[in-house]
Amino acid sequence: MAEKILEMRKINKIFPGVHAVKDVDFSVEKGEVRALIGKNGAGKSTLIKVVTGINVPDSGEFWFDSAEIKHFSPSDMNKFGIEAIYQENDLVGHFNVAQSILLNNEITRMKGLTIDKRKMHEQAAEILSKHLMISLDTRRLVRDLSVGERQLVQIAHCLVKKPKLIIFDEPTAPLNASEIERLFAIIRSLKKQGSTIVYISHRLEEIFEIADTVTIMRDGEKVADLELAKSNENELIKHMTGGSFELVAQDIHHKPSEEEMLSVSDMNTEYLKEVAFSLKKGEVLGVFGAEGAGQEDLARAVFGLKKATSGRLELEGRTVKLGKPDRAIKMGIGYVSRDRKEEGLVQDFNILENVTLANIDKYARFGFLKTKEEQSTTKKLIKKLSIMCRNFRNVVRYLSGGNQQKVAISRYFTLKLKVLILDYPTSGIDVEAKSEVYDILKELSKEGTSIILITPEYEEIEALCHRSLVMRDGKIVADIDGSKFSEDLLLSWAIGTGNSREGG
Amino acid sequence: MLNIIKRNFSTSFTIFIFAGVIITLAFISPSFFDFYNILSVLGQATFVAIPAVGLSMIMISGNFNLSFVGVIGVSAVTVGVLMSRGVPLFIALLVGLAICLAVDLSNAFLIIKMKIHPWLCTLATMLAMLGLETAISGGYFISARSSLFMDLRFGSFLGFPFAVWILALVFLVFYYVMHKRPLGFHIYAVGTNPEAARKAGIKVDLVKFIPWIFMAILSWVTSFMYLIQLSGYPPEAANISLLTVILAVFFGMAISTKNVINVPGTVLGAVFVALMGNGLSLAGVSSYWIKLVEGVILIAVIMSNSLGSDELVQL
Repeated sequence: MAEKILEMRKINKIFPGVHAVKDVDFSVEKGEVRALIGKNGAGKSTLIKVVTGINVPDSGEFWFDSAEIKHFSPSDMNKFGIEAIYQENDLVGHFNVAQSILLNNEITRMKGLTIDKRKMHEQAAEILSKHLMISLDTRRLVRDLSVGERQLVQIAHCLVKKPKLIIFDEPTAPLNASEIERLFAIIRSLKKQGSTIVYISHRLEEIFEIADTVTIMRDGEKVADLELAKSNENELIKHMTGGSFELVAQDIHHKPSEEEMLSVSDMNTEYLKEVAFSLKKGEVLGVFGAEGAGQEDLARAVFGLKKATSGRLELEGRTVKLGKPDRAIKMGIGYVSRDRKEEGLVQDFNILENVTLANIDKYARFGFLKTKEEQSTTKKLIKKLSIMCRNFRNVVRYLSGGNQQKVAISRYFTLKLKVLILDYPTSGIDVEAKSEVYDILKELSKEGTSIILITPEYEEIEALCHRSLVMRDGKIVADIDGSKFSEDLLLSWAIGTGNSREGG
Repeated sequence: MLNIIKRNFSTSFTIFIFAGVIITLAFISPSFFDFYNILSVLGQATFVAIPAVGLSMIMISGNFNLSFVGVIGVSAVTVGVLMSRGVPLFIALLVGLAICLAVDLSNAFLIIKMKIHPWLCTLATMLAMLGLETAISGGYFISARSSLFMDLRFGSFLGFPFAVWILALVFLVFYYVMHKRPLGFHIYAVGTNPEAARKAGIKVDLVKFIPWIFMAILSWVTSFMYLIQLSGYPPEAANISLLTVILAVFFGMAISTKNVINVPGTVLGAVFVALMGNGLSLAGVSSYWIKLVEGVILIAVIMSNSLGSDELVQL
């Protein structure tokens, strides 16, 4: 048996209200490429943040290179030789390639008197050509590089420190096919040079191509350690989903009408590619996909917050001008963003003010607010949506996440919307509040509002939606009718093992 | 060619303003390019350039500072008052340095450790320091007479007056620190992307602290320069040039091809502002109008910055 470089035993990490990692054993052998997979929210990012020292575990043992580690911080983990390459842009835009690669490892001359720019460029170029097998002009500025090139710079920056363990967190998400090929060649050559690698991805075909072994997580627990040579995709999917799930909400019953409400054709943004779909009156349409597959772009482009380079949007047969959120609201399109803290609500306003903000014209007469009407509407909404608060003067900041979400949705109740777009409406709220949000959505759709529901949770699609789109890499890859819903089917489309577009 | 101009829009635009203003001034007043006039302009530029270099480094590290105008004042009037009471010059200057260090280190502590917004924090310390300055001076001109000051003011070395040598020294030292030392790279890194710096193993808080020490020393040097050049300190003298100092920093940023704040650019900016003020007053324009022109140019420079790049210019 090969020697273990990393061994974690019975690791637990608890956040307020969430047991994110439960008794997880995770070990990596020297010289292997180990994949770590799981659905969104399965706990893999939390676990990896323990490895990189960002999260301090609440209990458990942590061994690295045969030494037990008791003190967790990013700089300590760097010292032990653990490096991670994240998706975020961890570079300084106006630095050149050499400066970025050698940040905090600058080369000086004349006994440290001044920086030796020539040597820095030489060494950076050497690292790039020797380990990454590419030549990149080290005088170019980071902000002029492509996403793929920036990632190479980040990898080179990590390699300067001669790490023992390198973690790649969803590295292929922003890359195109040839860049992915190049990245895999790099990972293989790093492995040949003796590095150990942990590779996190939701794309199963990649895992079979690059990794030796896989650890699968579900709901904060480790469910399997497998050798990829002896496994197949179906087995992995089964472990990820657990084969079954609990229904969190009663299925939606009413049928949507045949009238077409919304139609989107040939919509493109920087990321979205030729998005087209239609929506019937009173229909709930799910949008499923892995994190960052383009769902958020789709919502923002339809609502007008994201610039679409081309596309056509029709609401009840009338063309809606793209890129104008105020126009969209006037015509009856509402949007509840994922980030309710930053965008959805004014945190220091009270409930009443937040509710009336979206449609302030309705309550104003000659520029003055009609307070009585405002108050009675808000009171009714609070009761209807069972928002937990003392009264409508409660400041939104102090409400729980679930109640904040209800306030965010309630603003649109008064508007009699035609289309409501919800992005991750139940993220970070508890079970009870979730089911209340589900009830609200069902009621809205019964009254004839069409709903686009973006969610990472299959259970919500199953229970709430008449139909679901599946997105991958900025494209709609499947359009699946409610009668054919199964988690395996949707997940296989989302991670790229499905074959052709289902009819819809 | 057009592409290069477009890519470096703010650089080209700012150099265009620079050249335009200087050529116009040279036409209006023939004595503008006189050697002694240039020397006196450089002497005036010192008052702007030295604090501007300090402010540049603080801004590069991702913070901001307003309070230096008060710190310079308190240091200058304290030294003046101590000298008039017969305290030896050397001791008086040390007290001045101690004041500068105390204020800027507490600024740094409040901003970096207590996470107070740099604008609010230094606005508060600026007001406090301006108040303290007035309390000490009583709102009068504080004179500081010493034969050393006279020698430094009127003497020269290799044909250049003391003020120009100080300006050159400050430029060289901080050009070296910011652009030739790893520390300078790290200050840029923590200011632009602190997360990247942290992941590279840089001690972010420590690196953000250091520019405040530089700022304190430069504020002290500036107060010393006022005492030498003016034989004392007029009420709120530094406060009057606050806008000019900020303008110098932005000017330097606008002429850099990378569109980042940098030491040579800031010094050049300070010289430009001094040249402009000098040229306009040689042409007989009143000082009120000079402020107006400065304000308009500041807006033009900031606008050219945000037009040239997608990012907004943030103070």
